Amino acid sequence: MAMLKTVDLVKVFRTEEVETTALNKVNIEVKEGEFVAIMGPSGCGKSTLLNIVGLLDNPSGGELHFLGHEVSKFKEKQRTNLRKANIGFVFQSFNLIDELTVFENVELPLLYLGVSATERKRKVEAVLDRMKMSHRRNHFPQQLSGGQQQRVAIARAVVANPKLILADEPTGNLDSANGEEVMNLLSELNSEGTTIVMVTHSPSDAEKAHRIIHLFDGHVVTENVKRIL
Amino acid sequence: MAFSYKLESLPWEVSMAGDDDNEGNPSQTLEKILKLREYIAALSVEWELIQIYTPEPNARHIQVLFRKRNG
Repeated sequence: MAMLKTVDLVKVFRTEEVETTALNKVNIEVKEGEFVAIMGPSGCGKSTLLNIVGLLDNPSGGELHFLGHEVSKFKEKQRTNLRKANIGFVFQSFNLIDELTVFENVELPLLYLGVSATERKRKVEAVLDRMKMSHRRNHFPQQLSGGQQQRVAIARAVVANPKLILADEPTGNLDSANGEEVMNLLSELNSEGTTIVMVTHSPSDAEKAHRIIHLFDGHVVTENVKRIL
Repeated sequence: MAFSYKLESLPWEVSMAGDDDNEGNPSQTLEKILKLREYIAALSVEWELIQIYTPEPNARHIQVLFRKRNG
């Protein structure tokens, strides 16, 4: 079953002087449980596509289907509610909140979902244990290495058991050893059933995916199937 | 395990009448993308697309990295 599907998706950015078509009739489909990598040179529309699929932005045209709903015309509150219940994000620059501890950063999505304090504690401790970050639960992000910060970011992304993880260059700010560890974590999550869509510049990271979609200037150029789901 | 790679420099120009500005014209961009797809498809039996590189403005060629499929 398709978890998400775009039909002739268009995104145009307009300023007073310039109009830029970031996505030009993009058609992609991602099945439940799939790991899809999106590659392409800078400016090809990768992050724009991820933002729209992640319900952080609305398209200018076309359709976006997510979990069986056509969501392209959703208002912000509807997008927010659907996103917080179903999607986890991992960013290149981690985007942890400096004023919160590791525990509090990971707890945040559960707070937004109204989960009880007892349940929040249980879930956060379980995911920190899995990410081998329990011993740093009371530290702040600036006290952690890059690899540790990304492990906390992944913990935050998965603590609410999202159906979909969107990762935007998750290893971009990491050395090769930490990058390998992050990719192994994402592969592990995918093998447990979490659908992952990852934007990357790295051909070696993309090798972990079931399928690679190549974008150029807002168009899908080709798709490579790496392995069968 | 050994891999073979090749870097192809593919034509990146389209001749479309009526418009000398080759940059930013949506129909010329689409024409280039369609040609790029054809080149990649023509090579795809033996070669797997790895990476498309950003061409320079007004470039006449675009560089594309391929890897030979094993088996």
